[in-house]
Amino acid sequence: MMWNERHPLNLWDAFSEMQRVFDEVGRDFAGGLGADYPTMNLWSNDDGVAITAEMPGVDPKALEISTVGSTLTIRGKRTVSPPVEGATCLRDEIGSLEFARSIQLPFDVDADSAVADYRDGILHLSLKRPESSKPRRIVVSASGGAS
Amino acid sequence: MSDKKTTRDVAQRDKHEVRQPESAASSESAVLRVEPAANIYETETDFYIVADLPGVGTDDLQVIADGSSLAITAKAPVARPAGMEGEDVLRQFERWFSLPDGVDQSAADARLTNGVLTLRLPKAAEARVHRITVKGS
Repeated sequence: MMWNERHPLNLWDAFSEMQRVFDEVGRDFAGGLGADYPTMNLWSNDDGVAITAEMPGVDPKALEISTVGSTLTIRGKRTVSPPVEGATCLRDEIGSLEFARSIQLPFDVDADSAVADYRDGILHLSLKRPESSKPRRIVVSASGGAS
Repeated sequence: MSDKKTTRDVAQRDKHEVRQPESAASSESAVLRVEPAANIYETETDFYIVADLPGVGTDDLQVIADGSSLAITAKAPVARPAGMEGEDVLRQFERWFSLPDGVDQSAADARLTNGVLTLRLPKAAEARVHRITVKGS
């Protein structure tokens, strides 16, 4: 009982942790494909995060970007077809795929201020931190004098 | 058309991306060297190479055919957004292909759409398949 009080059972957290471990293992073995597709870069500051996700050949109109609390999910699909009808494929390293990747951000996202832009096969995302969760500097006032 | 007979460098390189620090002059950048994934197609008149080059603009792309080999090299700089913490990211793409005989390199053309390069390599007239019509008696 004490364990549950100190570490309340939260299936979502357990799932996220499991996914994080799978992502790390997948990154090692799949070299960028698989569980952690699309590959991402993330930058941050006190106002929010900027993310780039590499997904060449994707139809941006078919992208679904959603946030629930602090979880960002990107879903999409890529349809690969021969450049001309009737062509024979001699080497096949790029295939059609559907993907979904969720990442946990360190704050609840202000969805209204999110900006997404797809260019040259890269999705650029800007996600803001709500004012209420921005870090605040707490001024320590000294009272009395040191002896 | 196969790219098995590529240069020694390519043959020995890890297929996956390798992250390594750049020179001291730009220590804030992370450099990712990538051998781009590619599909190769053939029709009666052309070969096609389709390669993933996310983030690459036409100014940052070089395609050089030299005799029996073809090299695709490109770079995709992703600058750290202003005011953000972190580092710039530079992706460098490089891949070599060996070309079969009978490719008319002077007539090749390329287009880049949504980070995907489509390269068309026409077959020389003498290398094309000629269909022979069988006449009935």
